[in-house]
Amino acid sequence: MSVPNQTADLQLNRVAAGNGSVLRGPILLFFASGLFWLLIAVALWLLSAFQVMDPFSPLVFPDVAWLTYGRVYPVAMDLLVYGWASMSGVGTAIWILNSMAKNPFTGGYLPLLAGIIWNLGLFFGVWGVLGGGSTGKEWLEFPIYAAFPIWLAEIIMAIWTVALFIGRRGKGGYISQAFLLTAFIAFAWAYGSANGFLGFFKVGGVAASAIHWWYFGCLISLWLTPLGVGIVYHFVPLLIGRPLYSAKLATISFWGIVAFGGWTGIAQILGAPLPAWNQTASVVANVLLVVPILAFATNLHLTMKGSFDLIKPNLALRFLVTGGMVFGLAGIWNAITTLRSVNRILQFTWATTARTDLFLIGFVSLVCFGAIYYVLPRLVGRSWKYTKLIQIHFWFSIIALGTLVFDLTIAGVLQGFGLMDPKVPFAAVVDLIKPFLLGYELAGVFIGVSALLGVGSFLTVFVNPAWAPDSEEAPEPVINEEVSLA
Amino acid sequence: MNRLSKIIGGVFVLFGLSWWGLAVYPYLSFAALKENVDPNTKEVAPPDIPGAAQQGYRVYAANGCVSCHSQFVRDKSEGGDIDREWGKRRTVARDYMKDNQVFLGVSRMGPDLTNVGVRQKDAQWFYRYLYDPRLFNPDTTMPSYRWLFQEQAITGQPAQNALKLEGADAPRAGHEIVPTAEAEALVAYLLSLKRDYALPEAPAPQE
Repeated sequence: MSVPNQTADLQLNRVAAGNGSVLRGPILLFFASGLFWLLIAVALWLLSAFQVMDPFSPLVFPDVAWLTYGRVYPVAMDLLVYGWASMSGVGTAIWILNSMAKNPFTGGYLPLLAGIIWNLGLFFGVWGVLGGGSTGKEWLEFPIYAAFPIWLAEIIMAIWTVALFIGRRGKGGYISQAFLLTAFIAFAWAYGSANGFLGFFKVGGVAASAIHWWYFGCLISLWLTPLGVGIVYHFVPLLIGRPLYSAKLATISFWGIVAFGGWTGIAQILGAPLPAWNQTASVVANVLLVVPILAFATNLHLTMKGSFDLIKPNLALRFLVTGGMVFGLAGIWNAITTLRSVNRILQFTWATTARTDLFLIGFVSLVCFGAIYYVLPRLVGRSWKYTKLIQIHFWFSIIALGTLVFDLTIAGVLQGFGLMDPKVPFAAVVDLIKPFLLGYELAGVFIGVSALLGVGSFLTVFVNPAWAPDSEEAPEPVINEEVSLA
Repeated sequence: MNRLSKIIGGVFVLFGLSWWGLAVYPYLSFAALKENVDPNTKEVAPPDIPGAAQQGYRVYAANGCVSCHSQFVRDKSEGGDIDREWGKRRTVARDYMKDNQVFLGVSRMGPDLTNVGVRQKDAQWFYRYLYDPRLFNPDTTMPSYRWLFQEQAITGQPAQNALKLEGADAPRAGHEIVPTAEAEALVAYLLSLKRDYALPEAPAPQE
């Protein structure tokens, strides 16, 4: 996969999919839906954090079935993944793929249709799970009547992506196109396959658990990862006006993620009654995944080298680069905690929750917000005015992430050592981590505030002054006007 | 076109490998499992799931019990599950062959439930626990599932499965609190969670 100098695209991106484009509607729909579901997800997450902290607080409703922890928390997590991360990521992907294909074929009605169906699926999903129709399988709770529309929307998006790529001008391809293409194909396959086996054919026994956790690996490593990585690979060179440092490293990161990603999920349930070689393969895959992740992080670092000054003034870049770096950390942490000697302590604890949260809140969320901050002004032809708000949003996101991950990881380590020692009664293990649930609650509040700040900034752009696409000034949030971008 | 077919072909092959290895292979290999019949006692393991428990799977799934409770016992080399007496032996694939839904779980905010039916055999205990977990542990993080129960006026004899409650939880005079059909199904399911039979592939570790 060659990585041509992407600076040439800078000019193109200023006008592509701008005012009047057919894709303006679908991209806006995906962004707005993503942010809407983010708000719902965070509100439910916060509620669940209060509930687990004190199950007898006034925020627990023992007589109201649909507000119990076991329904609220899964819905919050599902919305975070299928609502916020997926939809805002797809919106960005539409923008990237369209501007890179340099192609008059846009088929704008397809993404629009997909966006509408996707939202319907999420709505049915929330309704179904809160109403007592959950499948009881983590990250796959949506009942079949909700999963099917989402899958249909994924298929439409995959078809659109491939069609756009086939009809592109010129024979070349960019690394971010390869990542996004992979993401759409793999997600449609994995989601359809998992829901087909489990929801439609109703596979029983532990075979269902194998399929279930295989799917989780695909969701993280072959949907959200290539989506986020593709976004970073596209925007960072564009924003600093320099090509990616190394095409070779980019290729390694691509094929590495594709090769190992699908094998990572089973490591979540080590020690389960599944074939031993499945579990070993999964641990090995999680460790080997460090290679492509580090190739990506190194590439990002070397691309940024000499341009790190731009992180300070350019807030879109700041979100994107920070997200990319967090991904590097998350990859290393994931490999360490998957090793059997560490896993036997941390399995079943809050530390594994923190591991997933670091990926979702740290990597995917930050990258999606960075992309929105770049794309949105170009999409609506207005510039950012309230950069201060975005700056506060950035710092709140970092504080929220830090509080959440540190708190839950420390709680998880204590919980893990407690569970290992049979002399410590189970109730004492719970008592041990109770103080940390207070920190969890606090982190939930921070996450809520940062989500509100993000949505707030999104809305302010619509009241901002118009921006002329052919002006020299870039429309993304830049604090210091003197630093030029290109 | 060359590049596209290379990418899509590569993705299909590499991704397909994981799909075959982690989804299709376990599916095919576990489909061939057969129950174990003890040559001496003619006892069948795992035993059939009682009819009353069959509806309980749905209630367990719908209410996200798996968010806090796991249902598998790891080998002694993999963790402290056996030392904690959550099971005398590790669980194996055959333990779950008759379950139409499996909830292995990734969180132990609450105790493992693989063998909860061995530890507690009294439905009343489960009803009271679900109704008010604080009766058993004042510091618990488990919420109350009061909506799985209903209050009704006592007509004639009190209902057999009425909850024995005192103090703040006690129903109004002349009334009693009884489990709904959902609670009965859930508790029947929990009572059926007994992996205490022997299977040759998973001998209990010697002390």
